[in-house]
Amino acid sequence: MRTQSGIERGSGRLVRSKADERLAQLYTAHAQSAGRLALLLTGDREVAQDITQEAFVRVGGHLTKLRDPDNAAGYLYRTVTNLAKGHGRRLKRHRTLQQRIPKSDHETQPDLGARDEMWRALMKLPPRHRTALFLRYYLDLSEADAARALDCSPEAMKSLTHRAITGLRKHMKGTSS
Amino acid sequence: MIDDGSEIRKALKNSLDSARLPAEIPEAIVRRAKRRRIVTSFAAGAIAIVVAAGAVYGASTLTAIRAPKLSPAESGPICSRDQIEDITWELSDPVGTGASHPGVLFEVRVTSHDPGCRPTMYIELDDVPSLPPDGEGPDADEFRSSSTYLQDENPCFTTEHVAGDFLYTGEHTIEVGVACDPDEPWPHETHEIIRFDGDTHEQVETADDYSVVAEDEQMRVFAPGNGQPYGWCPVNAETLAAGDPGFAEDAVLLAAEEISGGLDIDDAFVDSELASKAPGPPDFARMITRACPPSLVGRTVLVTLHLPQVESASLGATTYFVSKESRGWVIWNAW
Repeated sequence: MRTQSGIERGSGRLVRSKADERLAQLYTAHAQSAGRLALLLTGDREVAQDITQEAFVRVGGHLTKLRDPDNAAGYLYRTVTNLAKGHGRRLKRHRTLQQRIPKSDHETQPDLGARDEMWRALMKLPPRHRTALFLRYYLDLSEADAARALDCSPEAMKSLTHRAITGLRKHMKGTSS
Repeated sequence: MIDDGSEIRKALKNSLDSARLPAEIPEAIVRRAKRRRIVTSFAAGAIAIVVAAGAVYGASTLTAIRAPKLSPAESGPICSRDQIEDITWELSDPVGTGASHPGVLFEVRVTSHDPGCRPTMYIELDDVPSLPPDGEGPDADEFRSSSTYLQDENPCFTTEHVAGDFLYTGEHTIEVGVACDPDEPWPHETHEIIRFDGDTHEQVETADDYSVVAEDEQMRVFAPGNGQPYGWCPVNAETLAAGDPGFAEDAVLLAAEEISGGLDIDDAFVDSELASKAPGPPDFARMITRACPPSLVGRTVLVTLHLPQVESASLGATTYFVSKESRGWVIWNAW
């Protein structure tokens, strides 16, 4: 039996609309990438999962009226980036607070790869730079496709990637010296 | 050495490939997205209800008209931060005075000294309570939806004027950014945060200076020593200073981090459904963790007042409990 809320009694599963199906397809195609981008941006698996889920919810809420429906993935990546930036801002507040209370024996350990020099350098880059590197070198998108995902011009994408790599070099020099 | 990107590629793959999400979309996401679509479609109607309510109660001179979004035909550069002259605020008299759940309308105006650029603003309401102050009354979602509208849609407006949202009377924090990019879904640019209590308002911080707010809202909570891993896990609290709800959600998360040893931040969701079943002010029971570890004993955790309408002065030496609920552990005020 189907209730007004669209939940099928007995099975407990949602009866899915077309928008739900589109969201499910988007998830199947891009969930892992979005989750990994969130991880790259936050450095924390748990937070990355939160952010990814929230990003899908937000994009799913707008899926039927995106300005560029064919670029839902780009919208998703931008949402992940913005949510991660928001998280970073909140984290800064947390740290301010944490400095005022005694440290416990349960300090959060850095997440994966913390000893890796390159990873540490990546973590120092601004979120948009990290996103650019992710799109270009992890997803192996062309400059044009990466630019479309970030909703910027290919020239801007090129510049962004260049600045990201320059920043990475600088930070790696800093850590090795 | 980074020469051709191969090192970056390798580092990214080494670090990220092991992170995996469920292969199929969790139904919780589908449900929440569906609800969001429904809420958004109701938003315009809800705003009309709020505006009508304002008119009925003769609330204010505010026009309560939602500012238009950018249309592609508009042109000209967006005003930079330097070109913004001022951000001004106006709050209405309480709407619905005499009713059980009064609220206010607010108006924000951004002005630029450069007529050649388009002022933009970004607005986010950080801590709109899900329930009225006493936890009962009309369906809070009806009122929330007007605020949700700002958050669900791109909150970046190319306008100098946004007005008309409804907030329960109490302390709230509104975040305003200027020089934002309307093409970004949820931009975070420069911010000003304004706190108001329904009657007065003040700017409490600007840009990246977040340390100012924190000063007034900490409570130290410490466990008395029984440390039982299951069942009730009492914690005593003492108020250090007055509360500030603008920080509420963040501080709740922080407290969860502390209690769970920094491992279960994912479990520290705000859960209004569970909160509404908890004794005491419902919005206070919002922090849920899956564990109440013995290691809590003797540790200091940080909790911040979550309910705008709770008088911080009454919270001195208040006792908090961490107890087990069917869905996890919940900490609440136990007066």
